[in-house]
Amino acid sequence: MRLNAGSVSIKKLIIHEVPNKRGISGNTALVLSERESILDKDSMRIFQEKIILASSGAFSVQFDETTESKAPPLIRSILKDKNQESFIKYSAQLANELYETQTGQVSGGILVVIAFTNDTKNAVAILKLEKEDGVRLLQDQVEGKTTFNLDYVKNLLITKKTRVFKTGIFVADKVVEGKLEIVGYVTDPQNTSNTDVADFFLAKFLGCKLTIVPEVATRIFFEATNTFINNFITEPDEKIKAYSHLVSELTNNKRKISIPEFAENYLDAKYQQKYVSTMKGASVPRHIEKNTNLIDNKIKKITYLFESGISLIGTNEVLSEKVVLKSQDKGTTKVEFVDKITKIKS
Amino acid sequence: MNISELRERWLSEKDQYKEFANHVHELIKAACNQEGINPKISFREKDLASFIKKAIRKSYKDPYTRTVDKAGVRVVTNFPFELTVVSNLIKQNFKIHEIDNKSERLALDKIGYKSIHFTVSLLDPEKSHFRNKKCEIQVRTLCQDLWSEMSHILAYKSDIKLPNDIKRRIICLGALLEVAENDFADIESRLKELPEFYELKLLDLLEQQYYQFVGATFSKDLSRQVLRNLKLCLPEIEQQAYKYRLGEFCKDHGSVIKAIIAEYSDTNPFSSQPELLFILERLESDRFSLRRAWESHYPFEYLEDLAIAFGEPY
Repeated sequence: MRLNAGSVSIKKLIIHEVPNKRGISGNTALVLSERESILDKDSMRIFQEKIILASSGAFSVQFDETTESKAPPLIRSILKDKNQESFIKYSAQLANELYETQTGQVSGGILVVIAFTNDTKNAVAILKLEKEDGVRLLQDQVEGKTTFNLDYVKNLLITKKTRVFKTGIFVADKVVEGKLEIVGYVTDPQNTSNTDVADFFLAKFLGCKLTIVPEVATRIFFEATNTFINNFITEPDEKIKAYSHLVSELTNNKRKISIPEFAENYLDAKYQQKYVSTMKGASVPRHIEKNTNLIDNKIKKITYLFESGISLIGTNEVLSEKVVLKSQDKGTTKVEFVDKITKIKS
Repeated sequence: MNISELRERWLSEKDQYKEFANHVHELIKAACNQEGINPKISFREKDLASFIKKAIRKSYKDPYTRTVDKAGVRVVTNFPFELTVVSNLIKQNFKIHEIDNKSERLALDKIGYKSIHFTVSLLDPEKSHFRNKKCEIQVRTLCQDLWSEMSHILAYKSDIKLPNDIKRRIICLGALLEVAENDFADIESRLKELPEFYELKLLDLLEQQYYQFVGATFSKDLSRQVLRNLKLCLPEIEQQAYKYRLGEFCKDHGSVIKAIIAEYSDTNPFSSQPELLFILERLESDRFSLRRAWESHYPFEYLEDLAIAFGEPY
């Protein structure tokens, strides 16, 4: 689903303040708006950009049938509400749901609900933001001299550079057997090591789950990238380097894989665009929550160290296929394998 | 088949051949557009008188079958190098029954009719009455076409016995046209090496699309500077076909282009310039090269804004 400045048209926007009711200090009361916010042209554009930005970095999600969250039917109602007559009511109920489900570890914030259309399709964006304080610059003349004064600003909600925030985007698709099909995306389902916090927005509040489970998405990424390396990268050195980066990307500590970032960081310039286009053509998700369970035997290396100082290193899969280990007398092992030598290094 | 039967049959079938020739012409036109060349392409069904005269002259046993140019298409290119491009397109898009390169049959010291004739049929006929039909495609340059047409008009190949001095003058004109053709081609290559040729040609293409979206002037100096700085984003191999690619891009993304021009003109200096179309097209086709070229010259936030608006953020 492609959102852009030509397709996204904001119809209504409403803001509710949703603190953590189990918070230890400050205001803990829910503050619900009773009417939509009035947006000037610049604010409209900022939110339009945030919706577009969020959708490009989002993960495909679907409603979880087993969820207890009240969000899915509310989202469905907003999408079916042709003229958004009950928009305020539904958004308030969403705010209530957020308020009731936030645990002590989840920080409170601002819930922004935006009814928009993507081309002609009804859509809704649900953003959870945090208020910030900041300082802005004011040019002034003091005693005939130019200076810059600083103005402390409270309740700053969003800046042009704000990139990472929790957003759910849901677009009404077609009606199948009387039921409205909804295409859903959520940004950053897990951006912290605390899984309660990480699961909260996607699963507990929005009642969603990832459309493609991380293990499968990771395997799709690995296989498609491996195929690309074999089919399109012709120089042997570059092939080895690319594969090595692929394994490194899968085995490092990062939780997420981004196809464009992988291309930019690890592939030679001449392959970058081709790689992104090829992955798109192969329907590889643009952003992937990493889980290597299904491919560990292909990527994780095992090292056999021998008393003599010889080492044998390979992936589990290759070692199983090619190497035969036979126990001998006196605790020794005979190692047999047949292969071509490609490099000798010292 | 006697002449009368030939005549009757042709009168009943010529409209089918005209439709067939038109179809072949459309296929070649589409293929040439995608390659970024713009030859003049015409088509015809064979003229009845010409058909009968040829049948009589050649004394064919089966003149109907032996006449392979019942449907004809002529492709007239601007430059000699385009003959090879068109020839390759024909070979890719049709089933080839015969190729007759008249130029190759001319001795080095002779001037005469030059054209490449292909006898083709369709690879995958959509309509049943196109099956088994053949078409003759003649491919020649503008100068070759002029010489061919003029010498035909002057009855050079007819039965009239021309005095030698007239024959010689016609031959000299053929030589002159060949020299002119080579000079035009050479000038075209030299032009491509001039500074700013590429930027101005690209700006010309962009302007053609730009006015579909905007009815206002723009800064030509800024355009030339931007295109000079970003031109490496478009590899040479893609330049020839860029007109077609740009046209298709603008057709597919008209609404977002209009929205960006309308909404970003006060915040982004590139949004009300023709090079916006180049930037957006490159965002789709090669965002990495675009970013690399961009960051050496302009603040990244301008590109980032356009990328977000286009729906392809970095």
